[in-house]
Amino acid sequence: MMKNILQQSNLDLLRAIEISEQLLNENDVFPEAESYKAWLVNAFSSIKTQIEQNSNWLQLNFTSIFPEILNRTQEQSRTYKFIISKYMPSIYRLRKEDHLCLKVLHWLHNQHPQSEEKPFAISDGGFAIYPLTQYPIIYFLPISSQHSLLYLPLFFHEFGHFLYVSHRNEMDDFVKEFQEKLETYLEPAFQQNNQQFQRDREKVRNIVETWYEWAQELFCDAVGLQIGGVSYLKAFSYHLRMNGRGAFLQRESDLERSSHPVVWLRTKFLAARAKNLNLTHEANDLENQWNIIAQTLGVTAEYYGYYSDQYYQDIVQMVDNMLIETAPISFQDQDQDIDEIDMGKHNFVQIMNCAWKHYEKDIMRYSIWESTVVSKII
Amino acid sequence: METKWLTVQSFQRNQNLLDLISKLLIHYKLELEGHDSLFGKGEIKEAEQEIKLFLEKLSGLVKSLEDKKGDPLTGTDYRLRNLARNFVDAKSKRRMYKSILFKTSPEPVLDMLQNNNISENLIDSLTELRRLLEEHISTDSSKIFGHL
Repeated sequence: MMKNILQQSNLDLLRAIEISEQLLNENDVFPEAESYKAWLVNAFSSIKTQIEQNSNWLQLNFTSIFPEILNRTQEQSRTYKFIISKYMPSIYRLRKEDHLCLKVLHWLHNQHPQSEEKPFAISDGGFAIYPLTQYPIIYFLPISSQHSLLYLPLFFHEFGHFLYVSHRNEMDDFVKEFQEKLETYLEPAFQQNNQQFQRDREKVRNIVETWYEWAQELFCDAVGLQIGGVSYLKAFSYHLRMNGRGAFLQRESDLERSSHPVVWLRTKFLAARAKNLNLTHEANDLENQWNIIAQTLGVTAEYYGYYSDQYYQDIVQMVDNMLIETAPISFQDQDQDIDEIDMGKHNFVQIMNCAWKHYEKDIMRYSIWESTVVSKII
Repeated sequence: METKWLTVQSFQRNQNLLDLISKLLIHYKLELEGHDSLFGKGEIKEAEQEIKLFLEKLSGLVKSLEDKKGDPLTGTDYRLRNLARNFVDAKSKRRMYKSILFKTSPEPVLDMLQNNNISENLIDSLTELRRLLEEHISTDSSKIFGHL
């Protein structure tokens, strides 16, 4: 009976893959997405090989390994589902307008040895990434942002997550080192055996563990800034500053095991780093804008021990170490003070910085300027 | 700026571990029954090496949890911290998890893998580790695929 179920399920999966392969072959892609398509072709072929193995092994009638064949079939079904639901749409939904994002990402990947050979694609959604080692990278971004230069610097933050996984062991060590310092800052002075002490210990544990994820986000912001310069500061701020009170203040229970630090805190780190990169005017501007919104909302900063100025220097040091380890490119290597684009001369960071300059100078006329530039790019 | 990366990284890690465990279990079972292996020696060695690395990492986390109760787990993502805590919980579920891996610690299993000591103990331990990982990946899967 189990053998029949497994045979049917393997055949069913095989059929689904054959349909997917056909759909994949019918879709042409831009040159920047060729390696992504090739990866998908290989992935389907690899699952097919494993399905054929399952079918052959079932014929051997070794009943002792049926649980393993079941497990393999389930695992291959999950892999197929993952690919078809998350990776295939990037090919299937491909539109002419995708070319802008693909070109930007192709350029970004080519600037870093870690990503030079890594296939990638874009998909619809909020800004996010699948930064996996065994799969291509998918960058998600809202449909409206796919057509504009202004929010593409947020890709640089997402790219930071990929840099993190490319250097995971070293990066985890940096975070661990910081978490251990944090633990000593938060350690209750005297060990006691009462409920309050246990509650305090649990809070310390929550804070220290939460910082694993927060550290990665602050690193990604630093990557965004280092690559994108002013364009990242602007995109970050415009994208997040109307998110409401939650961007400034969160309840203690919401901070517990949250994946991102409060956005206001992130702006504090971004502004400080920007000042060190000689973006003093832009950094002050960013801080002032967020402070004015906070004032209007009647919010004052409260982090319930999840952040204190006591940690500041250690966090900065940790992020500095991470940047040295991963070595993202720097906007400072090119002149950013340009007013008009020369396609043969300027790179995408310069184009994005120029775009923000035009946008803030005259929002009403920006779209005309942008569509001319984008049409030259694609 | 969303946290998809956390879930998909855990999904990829668990899928990979499940694949390796299946491979090893097939190989060990057939070897104990006196059949030829379905895999090359290099493939098995590589799978053993990866499982050993994972068990070493898990062992360190489990030791931290057991020796320093209430202390934070550092340098590790949320999903792996969760897995380590689920592992410690599973040790108290004696009916479901009765292999040497859960009765004692990952060390004896690491020794068996190191010394190529293929036994029912090793098979039972890997089978139960697979069960724990299957529970874990179902959470990742629901977040990625949703429910029907």
